[in-house]
Amino acid sequence: MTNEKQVTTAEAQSALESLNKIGNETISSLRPPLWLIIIMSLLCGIFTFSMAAAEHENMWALGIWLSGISILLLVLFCRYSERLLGVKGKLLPSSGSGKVFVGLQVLFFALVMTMGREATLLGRPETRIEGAFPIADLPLAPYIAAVIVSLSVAYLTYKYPTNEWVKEDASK
Amino acid sequence: MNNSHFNSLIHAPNRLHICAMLSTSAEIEFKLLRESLDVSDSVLSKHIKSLEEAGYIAPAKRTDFGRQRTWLSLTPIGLEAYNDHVKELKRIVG
Repeated sequence: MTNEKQVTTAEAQSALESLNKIGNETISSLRPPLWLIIIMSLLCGIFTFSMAAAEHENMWALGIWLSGISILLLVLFCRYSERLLGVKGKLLPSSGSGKVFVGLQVLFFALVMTMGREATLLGRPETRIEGAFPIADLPLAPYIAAVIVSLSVAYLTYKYPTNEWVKEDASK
Repeated sequence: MNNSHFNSLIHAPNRLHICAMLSTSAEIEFKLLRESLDVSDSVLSKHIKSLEEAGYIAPAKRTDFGRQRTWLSLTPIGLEAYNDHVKELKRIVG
């Protein structure tokens, strides 16, 4: 079976499989090393915990600054090492699905961080509103938020380093 | 509406490889592309020239640490042509 350009279905299938392989290899080359992913996810966890646990001038306020600056430096280091290797990743994905994916990630992290902060505030004796919200009695709220953010960052950075939503097999 | 369009210029194996790599990143260095394709400088230059003439690729020469490097990126027209070509391949496969 051929189309008007004399490309058979088998040829098209083979080309798509090859494209999928090349795309995955290029994306893998943009993936930061595992040790960097672990450090980055831990720092994001510390940042989330600090955001939730910070009070006026306590040590967690310093934690926000230190972890925030460290994350920024790590991101800059990743970009610089990519450049040395000869690849420059996109700041934002070019595809529509990729942009939606980034939007959903931003929404998810904002939600988890806000919930962690609010649940911690509601749990403090001075700001507590009795029966206002069941999670107010949960002293582990900052830890839970930090673990969720940390694991999510590790998974997303490993699986989607370019923030592009990639199908396992483009030919399907 | 079907926007897919078979592009014989892109469909050649090496040019398809170049476009696929460039579509996933902002810029790729000439040397890395050459190593990935396992071709000589002249062969890669020839492919790049034909893609550049079609307005699909924009080469940029920049000096880093005193060494000149050639960076290649897909233009918006090139990205659109590549995406249309992939859509057409998917349509053929069905």
